[in-house]
Amino acid sequence: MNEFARTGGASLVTACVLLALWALATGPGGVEPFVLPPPLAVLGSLRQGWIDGLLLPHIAYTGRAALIGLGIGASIGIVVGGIVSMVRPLEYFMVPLVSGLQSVPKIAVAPLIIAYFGFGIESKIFTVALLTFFPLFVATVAGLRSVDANIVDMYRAFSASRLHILIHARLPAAGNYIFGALQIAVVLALIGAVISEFIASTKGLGFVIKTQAGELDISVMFAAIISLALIGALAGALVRFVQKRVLFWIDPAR
Amino acid sequence: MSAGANRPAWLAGLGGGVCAIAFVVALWAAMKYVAGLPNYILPAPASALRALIDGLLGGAFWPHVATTLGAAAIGYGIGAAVAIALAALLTLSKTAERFLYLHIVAFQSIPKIALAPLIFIWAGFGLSSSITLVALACFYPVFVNALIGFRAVDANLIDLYTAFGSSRLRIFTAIRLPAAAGQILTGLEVSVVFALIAAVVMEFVSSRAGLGYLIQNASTTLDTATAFAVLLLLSVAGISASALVRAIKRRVVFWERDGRGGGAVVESA
Repeated sequence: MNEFARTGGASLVTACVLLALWALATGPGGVEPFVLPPPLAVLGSLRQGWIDGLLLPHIAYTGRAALIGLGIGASIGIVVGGIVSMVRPLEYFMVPLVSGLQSVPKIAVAPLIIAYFGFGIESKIFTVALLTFFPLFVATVAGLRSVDANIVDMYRAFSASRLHILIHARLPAAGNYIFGALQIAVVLALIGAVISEFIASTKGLGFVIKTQAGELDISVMFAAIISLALIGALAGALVRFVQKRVLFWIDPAR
Repeated sequence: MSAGANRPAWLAGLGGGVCAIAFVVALWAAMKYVAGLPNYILPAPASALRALIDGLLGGAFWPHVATTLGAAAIGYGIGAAVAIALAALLTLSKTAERFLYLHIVAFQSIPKIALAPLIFIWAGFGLSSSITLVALACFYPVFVNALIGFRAVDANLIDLYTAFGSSRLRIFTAIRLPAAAGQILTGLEVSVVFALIAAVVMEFVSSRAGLGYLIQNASTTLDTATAFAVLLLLSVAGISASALVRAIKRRVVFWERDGRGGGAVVESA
């Protein structure tokens, strides 16, 4: 408890110092607001964005692209991962392929995707689906493999079908892996949508961040970035909450 | 697995890799010639390869390669060095940990790549903005893994050193650093992709040079052969840079035979 209070107090001091430095640097005679807006201006932009609703349509746009893309990419990743882990010959070359692709900056195809699908939300959804496929695929293959061999043997001994084993033994074992990947994928989904919006878009948080770069006061850009970080943190917390509910038998203290 | 039980592991890996490449080429050819996608959507594998060879032999690609990989390498070095130093500081000093730890964790929730336009305002056109974004993107994976590594030390060993009057610095260099080396290198391995991603995204946003710029330019003119050639180049760069870090890891922490042990903490775009 004492340690908790000390860490809290010390962190508070750091926060105050940082804020004071920020306010001082952007005060009269300081840095121009098109380089660094004062903290109060950012707070004002956040209020305008969330309460007066200026940012809300952009948040909804980016959120929709991220959510739909995540749904598509994650479900394809899980299904393909499931198929690959059940068919040995597929696993033989799919696993090196995907682990090779992990070292490839996949976001680099974003401009091509925009050339294919246009400036609209389709290109954002496709980019997000592409990015979120990989963590889910890898986690599904690893998770389905992680099952206790004794349990599978027992199911086999009672002549359970492969599908039965998949659903009752392998999938529960993979749950933790899949949810772990989902937490990563949630952030990737937001990043994918935002970068696609950087390249070409007329809406969305990425569009706001990019287009504000030429303004005299970039507090709106800061507000958009902070909103993005908050949405990411909230989405991650939501995944953790669902994980605890679905995988209720796993000790969270582990 | 069972197939390669008696054969050396690298042979099985090579076989899988060759099969994977064959699969990609086959899929590509099938989409091109069976599904009949036009050139402005999907170039023939041969024409992408020709664009790659022309670009490399004709020299048109090299300045862009140098820009992107140079920014990625420098930013990677800076980000990793700062990350390891901060993790070391937080391990050595309880006070530093109290004052900084929460803020570093909170900083993680900002998607660094989304800061590209802001970095562009601060650093302008050219290398310095790319380097900054790359350093920011590489920081966190290295920091987290270094911190975990520094802390995952046998407490008995530290007690022993303390009992013999070793200083904290001595304990750090003699015990913590070697114990953490494997985990740090895992973070460094993950960061390789982050570095490339950040460099490419910065070029999408700002640059007039680099592989990201090249892809974007080729995409808007529907010159898909060039775009695919650059994508191939980036893939080769990413895979070989990761392989390089893995090879260094095997050399440095030769005692950790279980190559995949520990496991990375962060996943890339």
